[in-house]
Amino acid sequence: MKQGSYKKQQGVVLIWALGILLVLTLLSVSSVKISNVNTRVAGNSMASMMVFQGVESTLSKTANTNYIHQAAINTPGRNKAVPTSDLPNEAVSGGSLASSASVAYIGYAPCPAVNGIAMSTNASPSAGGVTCQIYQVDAESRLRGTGAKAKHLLGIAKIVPPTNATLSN
Amino acid sequence: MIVSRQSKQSGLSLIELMVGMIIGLFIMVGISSVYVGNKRSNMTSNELTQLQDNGRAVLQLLTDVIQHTAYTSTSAAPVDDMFIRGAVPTSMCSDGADSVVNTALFSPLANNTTYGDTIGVMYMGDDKLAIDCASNELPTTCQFGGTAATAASRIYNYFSVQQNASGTPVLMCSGSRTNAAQEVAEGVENIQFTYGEDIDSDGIADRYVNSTSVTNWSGVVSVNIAVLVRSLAPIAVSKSAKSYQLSEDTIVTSDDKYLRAVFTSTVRLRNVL
Repeated sequence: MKQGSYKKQQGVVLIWALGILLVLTLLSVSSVKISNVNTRVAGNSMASMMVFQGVESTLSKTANTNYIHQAAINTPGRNKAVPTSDLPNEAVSGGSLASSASVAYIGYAPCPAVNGIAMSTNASPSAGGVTCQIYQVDAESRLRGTGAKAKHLLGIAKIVPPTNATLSN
Repeated sequence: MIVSRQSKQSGLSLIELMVGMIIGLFIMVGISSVYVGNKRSNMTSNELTQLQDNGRAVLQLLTDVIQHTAYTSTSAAPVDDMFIRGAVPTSMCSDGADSVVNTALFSPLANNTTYGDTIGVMYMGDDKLAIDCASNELPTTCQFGGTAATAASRIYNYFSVQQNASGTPVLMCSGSRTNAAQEVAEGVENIQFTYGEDIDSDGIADRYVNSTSVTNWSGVVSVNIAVLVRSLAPIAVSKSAKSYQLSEDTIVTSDDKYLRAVFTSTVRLRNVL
């Protein structure tokens, strides 16, 4: 009888301790989960910034007269896929960037009014002296090993003689 | 048998009970302090997570919108009203509707109002970019490239910090296509914008100044954003006095139990010519 009651009390303490341990375990498991999610969020935002910088770098390497000229003479379709060797393709922290870009001719459009560029009166867009060819650069960057991807477009207006121009003088 | 049992029971009820109670007390104090500490650290980490989420969301949204400033679609014409510095005009779309739903939502961008700076930016809507800061779409009848006048394709976005009905400071956004200002992030106490002005026309910002000191708005090539975000509940154990420098002219001081953090980012204005 006496021994039985002591044993009962010891059992109660054990169960109490186990119950509290369970609550503490749940708390710590949930905080580990939260910090895991935080790490992933931070990783994702880093990846999205990397591809943003990657695609901007791709655009600035691609938007030049060389590729516009190559697109212009590349018939049919008048577009030019920029060779991968010319694009940023480098290892960054967390993976490596893979970029691709192409330049395509879109069509003729009236030239925008430009500021800060000297033009003779009869060569200005408003006098009909010039027209513009519009090219579009499509650039895309991915971070290998992740789903991060960025795609940016850049339009380029190239000032050219009007389509119905005749040579005089 | 009965006598010996009674004497044993009286001993148990006096000394053993007291010893047991004291031991139990120590155990309870130990356990409850562990529990309280654990709970507090859990709450703190929850609030911290929420604070970081809010800060990240604010920067993401502001970056996305400000980045598009002065986008003029294929017209490629330079615009001089890419920042909202006066009344916002509305014009007629091709179906006769207004391009700006509620012009009363917009104010000129201001430096250091009660809750920091406000900013307003404009870009043109076309088939590739047609939403304002509250994710409302500009109808195709207003977009650039259609039959509507170019002025109808202008999408205006305006950000300011205000207090909502429950007293929490929030970041509000008003877009051209919204009827009322929308709450976009909670716990934003102060926001500062400094503008990167290009003085020698080389496309690179030469100085960063607040909106009252900008001399030539068409020379602004980048925008620096600094946001002070605080937790939604006062979670710290005791008050602590702190100060946060957001920009040259703004230092925010606080003396309470909220957690705070400053988030900064610089946005290059891609479409400024």
